[in-house]
Amino acid sequence: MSVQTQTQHPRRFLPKRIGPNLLLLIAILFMLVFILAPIAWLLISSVSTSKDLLQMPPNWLPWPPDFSRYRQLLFGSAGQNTTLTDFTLQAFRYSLRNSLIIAASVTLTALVFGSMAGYAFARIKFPFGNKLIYVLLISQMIPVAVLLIPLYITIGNLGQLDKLSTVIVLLVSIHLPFVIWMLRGYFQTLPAEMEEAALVDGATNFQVLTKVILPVSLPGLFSAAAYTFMQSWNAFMIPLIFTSSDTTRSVTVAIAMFVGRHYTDYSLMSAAGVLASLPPVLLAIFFQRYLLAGLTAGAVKG
Amino acid sequence: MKASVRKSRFSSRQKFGLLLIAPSFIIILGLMLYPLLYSLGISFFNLHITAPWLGTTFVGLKNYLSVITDPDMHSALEHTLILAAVGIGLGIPISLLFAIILNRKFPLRGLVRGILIIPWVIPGSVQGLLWSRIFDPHYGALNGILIQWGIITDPVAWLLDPTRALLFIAFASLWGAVPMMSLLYLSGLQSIPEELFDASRVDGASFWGYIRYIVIPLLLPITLINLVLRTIDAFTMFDLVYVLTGGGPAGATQVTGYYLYQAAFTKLNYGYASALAWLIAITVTLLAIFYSRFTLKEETAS
Repeated sequence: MSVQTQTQHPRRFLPKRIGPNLLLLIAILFMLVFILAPIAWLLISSVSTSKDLLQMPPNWLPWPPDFSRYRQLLFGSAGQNTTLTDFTLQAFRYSLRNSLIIAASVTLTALVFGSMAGYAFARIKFPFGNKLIYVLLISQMIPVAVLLIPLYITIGNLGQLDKLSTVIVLLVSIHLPFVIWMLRGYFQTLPAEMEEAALVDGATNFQVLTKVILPVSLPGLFSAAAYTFMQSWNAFMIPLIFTSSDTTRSVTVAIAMFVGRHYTDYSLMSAAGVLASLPPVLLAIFFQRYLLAGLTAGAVKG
Repeated sequence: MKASVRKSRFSSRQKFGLLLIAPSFIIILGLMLYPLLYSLGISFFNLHITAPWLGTTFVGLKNYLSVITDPDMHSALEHTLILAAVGIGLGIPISLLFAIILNRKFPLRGLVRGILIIPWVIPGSVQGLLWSRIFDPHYGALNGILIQWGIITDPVAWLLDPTRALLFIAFASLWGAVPMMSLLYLSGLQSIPEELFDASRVDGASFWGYIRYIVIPLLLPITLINLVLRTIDAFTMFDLVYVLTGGGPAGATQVTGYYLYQAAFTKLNYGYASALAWLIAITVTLLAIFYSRFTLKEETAS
């Protein structure tokens, strides 16, 4: 019966179902090309030989892919390459290590302080609590650019320029208001009976936080962590201004230096760019849900 | 007597809360609010960084006046507004399209949404590298494609052309912003009840009619958020300009964010740069307040 009705109106069936689907397919393809084509070229460049790239039009699909640049960046030496030195390679490896240290430290610190303050704001009533939240909101809206000159002067006077710890502290201060805000929102969704019961049972305030609240807040903590890690790995202006040597530079700044020095070794530069993007991109792919939880709330932060 | 008054003001729970908030507020006050006021102070002085024997002189509103009357600043502002206009004019239709796509059901939708986020998480300086590989004056992908298709015969130095460079920067910046804009639209689309679609079908509306008369009006608040976010982004734009053009050629891609960086850290004109930073901050904050008003209204409405 159903087969009959379908075959009875073949013309109507086509435009109604396949027509829109075809349109959708074209739209999806357009979207994928828009997003992926620029990335694809960076990936292709990174596995090309110089000969593939230094011709017009380039060899779009070099085969077999040449992964030697990745090996060189991570483990190797400059060898016969004239525009590159062992020193540059070493500096790039330092920068990867620095970014890892920076992002991990900022995430950990912001999470510890942020969950403490976020819990207090969510659960404890202060006579002036609303005003403090206001301070938090204002500090989240301050464009970082305004703070740079006074921070540069003060940190310079304290003799703390060109140190990883300085970059970490600055990034913590920038991301902390948002982490507090996000975790406060998360803690507010938890039922209050849980901690009331624990307090009645004789748990201390501190135990309630560490043994009752934090263990059930892992998804919220994870969202805040993913977002903070991504943002501090990607930080550019702060490490650019506050560090100046090869041993303290972040990988984002190292990449900018690569481009600025006009190396003609395009595949090496591209491979460095791919390596620098890997941590945040992997976060986005595997922890999409957590990363997006903070998206709209953090959207306003420049 | 005094002790009992204190006791009634702060319960042990509130004291615990203050202890939890303390570290965060020390960080926020010390590294955000103090520099904020410091920067306001500097903006009324000439610090003579390059001629320290002159000391510091109070100049009142002179720094603000010279920012407002500076012709370089006017062209930077103009470029910033063009950047925002391209981001809005191209970004809103593209991201609305992407959101409509992702709101339909199709196989591998989760994967496509994951791919869409990638540009958002790629570090700004790597985005700069990526576009420098595309707009490269000799061996870029854009030249490669156009030569391959026979549209041009010789490579064009896209970013060295003062009339076009800014548009290429605007497009590159748009690419990184489209994910967030699309996801904001997607969240808006998901809040539109499906019955409205069915009802419009019953009333004989076409799909385009549904988009035109139901979706677009209902997404107006999100459009407004995207509009403001793109404007804020344009005003704080830095990484891409730093890596791709350095404000050139001949100031053609100079924008307020990069101009501020140069005034502060290349020309060491701290007073002028602080005044400029404050003017940008006031603009951005007004936009942010406007934005948060809208999101707060959204939250209370739903």
